[in-house]
Amino acid sequence: MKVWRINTRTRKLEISEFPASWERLGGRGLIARILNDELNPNCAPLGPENKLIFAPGLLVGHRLSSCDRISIGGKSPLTGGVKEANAGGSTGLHLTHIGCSALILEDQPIDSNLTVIYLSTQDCRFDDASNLAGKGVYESSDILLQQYGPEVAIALIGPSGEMQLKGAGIQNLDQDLVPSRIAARGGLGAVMGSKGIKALVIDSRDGSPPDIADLEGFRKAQKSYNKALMDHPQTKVYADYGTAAMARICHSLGGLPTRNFTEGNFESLEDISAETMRDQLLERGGDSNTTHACMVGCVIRCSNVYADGNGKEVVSPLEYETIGLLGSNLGIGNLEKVAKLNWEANDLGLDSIELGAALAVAAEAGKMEFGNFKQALELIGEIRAGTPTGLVIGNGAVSTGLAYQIERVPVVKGQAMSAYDPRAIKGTGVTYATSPQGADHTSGLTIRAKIDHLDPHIQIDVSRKAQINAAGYDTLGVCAFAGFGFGSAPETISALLQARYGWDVPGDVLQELGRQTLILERKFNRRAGFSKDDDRLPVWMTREELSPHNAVFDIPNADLDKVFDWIDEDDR
Amino acid sequence: MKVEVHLHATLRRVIKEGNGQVIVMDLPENSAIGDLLELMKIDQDPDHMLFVLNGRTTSLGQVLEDGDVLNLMTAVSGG
Repeated sequence: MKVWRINTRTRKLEISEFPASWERLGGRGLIARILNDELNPNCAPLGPENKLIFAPGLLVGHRLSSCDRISIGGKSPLTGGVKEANAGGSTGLHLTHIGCSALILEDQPIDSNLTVIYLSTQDCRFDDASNLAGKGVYESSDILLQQYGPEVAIALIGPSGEMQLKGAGIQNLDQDLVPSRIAARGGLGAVMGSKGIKALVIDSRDGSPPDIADLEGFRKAQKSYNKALMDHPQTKVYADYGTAAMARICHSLGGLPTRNFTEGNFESLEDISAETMRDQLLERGGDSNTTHACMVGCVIRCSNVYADGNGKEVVSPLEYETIGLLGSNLGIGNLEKVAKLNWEANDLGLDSIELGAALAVAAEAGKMEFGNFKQALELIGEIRAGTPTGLVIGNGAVSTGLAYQIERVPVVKGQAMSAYDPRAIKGTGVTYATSPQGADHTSGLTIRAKIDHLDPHIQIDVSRKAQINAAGYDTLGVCAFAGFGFGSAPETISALLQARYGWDVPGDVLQELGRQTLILERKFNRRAGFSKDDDRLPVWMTREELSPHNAVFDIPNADLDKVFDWIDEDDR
Repeated sequence: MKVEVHLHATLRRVIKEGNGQVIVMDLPENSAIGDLLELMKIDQDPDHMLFVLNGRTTSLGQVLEDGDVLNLMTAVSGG
């Protein structure tokens, strides 16, 4: 396996074999390893010492359903700690096809010229991108596709990444060449912007899929895995309703973030539910699509295309987290309005979770009224214009709370919470508090567990298991929703790895990879100055009751400290 | 006794009234969630379902009471 290093100052590429300690890692686990091996943990995230790493997961490269995700990482400008954000689309697949198992962008140019890095099996080139400066993600992507052709994969930033805002992500093309698969969290778009890179273009036309050690074994395991995935009832729900199905689920548990996390139920729930969205899209037709795949070969197809009353595409996809944070959390009960805000976030290259949380904090400070779509749009316009107000909001929820003296800021380690209020879904609160990534549902969501989510005594174990599994899947490059297929046929994970690499791997390789990843991430954060005091929810959530259950977050700190008690005390 | 049942996503197909999302069921006393599923002819494997009763996740054997609000959903793993 090969690591490609590009120095963004000298514009030189060096390709070398993986050191032994990296060999059985990919995706999130590999990023954690590289950050520990190579990065000064106290470096400035937007300075020349930080590195931006693109690492496909271990199973990426063969169009296995839902297994071609790209992990992107570095030191986070938002949290100051370890960061990995992953996305679907085609970037991971194409990187493996040019023979790159990890791409590390290093250093920083001295001038401020914006460039595109073009990569193929034969070439690493820096092309001038001054024509794209300040342009939105959608227009930039169109221009790049015209310039390089529709066969390439592209990872790019929008104006928010160029402005090095802490809410900026990195967007990737989906299989229909729509640039909306965002590695959203933690401000990695700002890191890319700090290196003067507008886009990474990967041309794998001369490349080929990675070698498979035992093709017959691989196909056999793939077949079992696909069957398990197709047979699972969850797959049908995701195909028809997408992640938006979570809106009514979360509401029923009293944990749907509403008006800056002040309530757990939203009176206009039915106007933003997946059920309403499906009915609308089926009726509207045109560009509408209720069942859409972001990656080639995905059988789940949880994505969608949201179209307006004339059947014209507004945004694709429209997902639950965005509905929660830019919908109910802003008091906006209208899917078309949420979809329009989502388009703006995508075009600016912003994480819609961080943006929604920041806007709600701004609303609390009187900068907009809850429920006022036009004012939300105007504030997003301020970000695009780079006004002082725009910079405050574009830098995220913490920045907004500090500027406007608001205590009620829903973050951990500086990163905004996703659309699950941790007082009603306490296991996910444990994940928010203790994940090395900061508040993030993808680090270990517990909502599916058949437990009383309000009981403070039973959440630690559930969160621990969910965090280990999530870190494992992120290291494999596997979508969280494929977990159901693998959950029904866990032996296929080790079978696929064995067949692809010829490795002898244990039956619990998923958990083994997850544990290893979390140990490395905790280690990096500790070296960067984090302690157990950072593994806490904001104090106001232990005090302010959340309707309808009047719940507070009441899991004792001593219990939170047990989540990682399986790690040696010195390494915790 | 009467129980308000909220059906989520694909389970909406079970009932025809309104938008297929909410129905009030008349049940014999001491009926459990399992009895309700049988009565409503919901044949999905309960292992893959979540039952949220008055805002709290509960189990198949839970006995229902008059005025309860029950959400029936396929368990999904995230957004």
